[in-house]
Amino acid sequence: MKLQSKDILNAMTDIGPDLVEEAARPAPAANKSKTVRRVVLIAACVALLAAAVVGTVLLLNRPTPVNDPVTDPETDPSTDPAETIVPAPPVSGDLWVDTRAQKQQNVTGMEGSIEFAEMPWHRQPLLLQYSTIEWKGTVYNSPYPYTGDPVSDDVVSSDYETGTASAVDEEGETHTIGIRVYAMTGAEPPRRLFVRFDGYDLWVGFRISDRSRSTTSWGELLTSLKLPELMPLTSFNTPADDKGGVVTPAQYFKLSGEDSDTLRAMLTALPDVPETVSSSVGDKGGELYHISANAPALGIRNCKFVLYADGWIVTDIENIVYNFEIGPEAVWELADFLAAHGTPTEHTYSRQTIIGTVTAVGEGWLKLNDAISLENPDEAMEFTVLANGTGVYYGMACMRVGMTVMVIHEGILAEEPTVVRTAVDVNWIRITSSGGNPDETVIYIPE
Amino acid sequence: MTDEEIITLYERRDEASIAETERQYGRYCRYIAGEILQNEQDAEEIVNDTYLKTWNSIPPEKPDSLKAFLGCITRRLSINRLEKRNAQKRGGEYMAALDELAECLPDGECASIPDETALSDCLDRFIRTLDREDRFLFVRRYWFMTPVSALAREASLTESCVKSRLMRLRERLRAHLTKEGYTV
Repeated sequence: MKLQSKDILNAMTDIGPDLVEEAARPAPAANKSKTVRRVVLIAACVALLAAAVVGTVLLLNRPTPVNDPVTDPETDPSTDPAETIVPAPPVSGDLWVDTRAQKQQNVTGMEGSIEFAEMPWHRQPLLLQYSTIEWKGTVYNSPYPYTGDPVSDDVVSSDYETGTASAVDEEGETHTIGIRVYAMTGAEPPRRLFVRFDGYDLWVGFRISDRSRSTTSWGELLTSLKLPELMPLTSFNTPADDKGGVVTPAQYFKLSGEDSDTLRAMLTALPDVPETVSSSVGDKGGELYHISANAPALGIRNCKFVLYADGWIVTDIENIVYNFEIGPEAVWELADFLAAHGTPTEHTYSRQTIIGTVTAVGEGWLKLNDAISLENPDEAMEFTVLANGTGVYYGMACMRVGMTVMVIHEGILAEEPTVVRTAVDVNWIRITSSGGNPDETVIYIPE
Repeated sequence: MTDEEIITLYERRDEASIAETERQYGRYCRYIAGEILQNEQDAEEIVNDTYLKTWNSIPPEKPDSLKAFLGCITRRLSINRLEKRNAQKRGGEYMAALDELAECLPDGECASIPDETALSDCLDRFIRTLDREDRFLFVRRYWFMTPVSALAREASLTESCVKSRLMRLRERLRAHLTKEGYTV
């Protein structure tokens, strides 16, 4: 009698109850910082941002809207679509501090749970509909939200190839659409594809999804992604520690351009060790430093390289953890370099949320009334949220007046406290009284 | 009320046992059934069936953990319901999970009909070799049958990341099953 998958599924019923109970609890923190579970305490007050947050650059001209957004007849010039879809300027200046009492501050546990709502396929914008493509036998995914930053010519192939992207809707019907593909050079299969959809004048980055066909060694990871060229390494931090009940906060440092170049050269010169696939490699002697890793052109944002005392370097830049055992000597050489060259700095990265009801939507903007999240609804404000990246742009394209949405942003300028120029994600949510864990006081923010 | 006290109520054939079960574990059972069935009405029926089955099982059963006991019953009943549903129409997370797990099947044939208890023990051992994150993904996908999209949201991973990790876990399970003799 052949063992069948049904046998396995049925036998799963009787695994240890402790395993089931463990899995019924909230997910452990993801092993990567880009997709590190960004937990937003509902009870949290809006934090002060210590410095400016840089807006994202967008290679986006005038994409044709997929849906017919609800227009706001009273749109003021600051929300004119033509203005909002050009690259948002870097945000600088004092940041607005929201002193209004959030409804959740006075509850222990949650009154309701927040779920991320699913958008029917036919109402999704094109980028979400075709978030997975298969090209030359390899599957790629769009690392949504994607900033759509330009990619230099020496990174992608000079000529595009034509292909099709396909998607299946809820009814099981397959849809296809024409695409033009520029493949990233340096690895076969390419680690990234940059795609233009027919009728859309914008780039969309797709990341290889089959891990077994991607990284095999440290050197391959660096060269196939052209990281020395595309990833400036200008900041790092010590990890926060709470051993023994004593909390030691993280300390943040920055590197000069010259030191960053040196650091990249040191990383490039590390031994080309193979990836250690097992994730059960212990605590590796403890974390020494987190080196911030960002390469927006590759869809890598807010990731890191972590140095471990026992000789490991671990990174999450490809959406999954890679472990490389480079040896204690190499690690400590890097650690000593960081200790000697880092300049203490304030931590400037912080994400905040606005939860509210959509009151108007246009091309590249939406308006949001946040009465739903306030203790005193009379203090409600109407925010204008501007798209500054394709992810947000397309997220907004899904929205309709009356929906409850959560906007994740990186600060609001004090001089225009009703305009959100740093949105990084917009999600349609449902607030329910029955779903989720009643003890849960967090919102899980998906990538 | 403790598990022991609730079980005592069952043993006394006191109907308050069901109310207490509902109060303590109704939400948990509803969650399991809801995840598997993805249908609120079906889930509600399954939870009620779970209470009935529990009423009929205790005594003589005396579970160490009432929560685990209820969870297993809810899961079995939910799967039975799914099988009936899928006999008419293929689809849903159950079929998806079945298809995925088919990748784990060792080549060849087993010498006999697989002993479910032995297979459960084998799976238990395998899961305990995984780290916390992988355990979460595996059990949520193949015990609760949580959709990949929901799993991705909960774990704050992309769907592609969840899929690739599950694929790797299935490969490891396949190796584990083979190692434990699930081949001719």
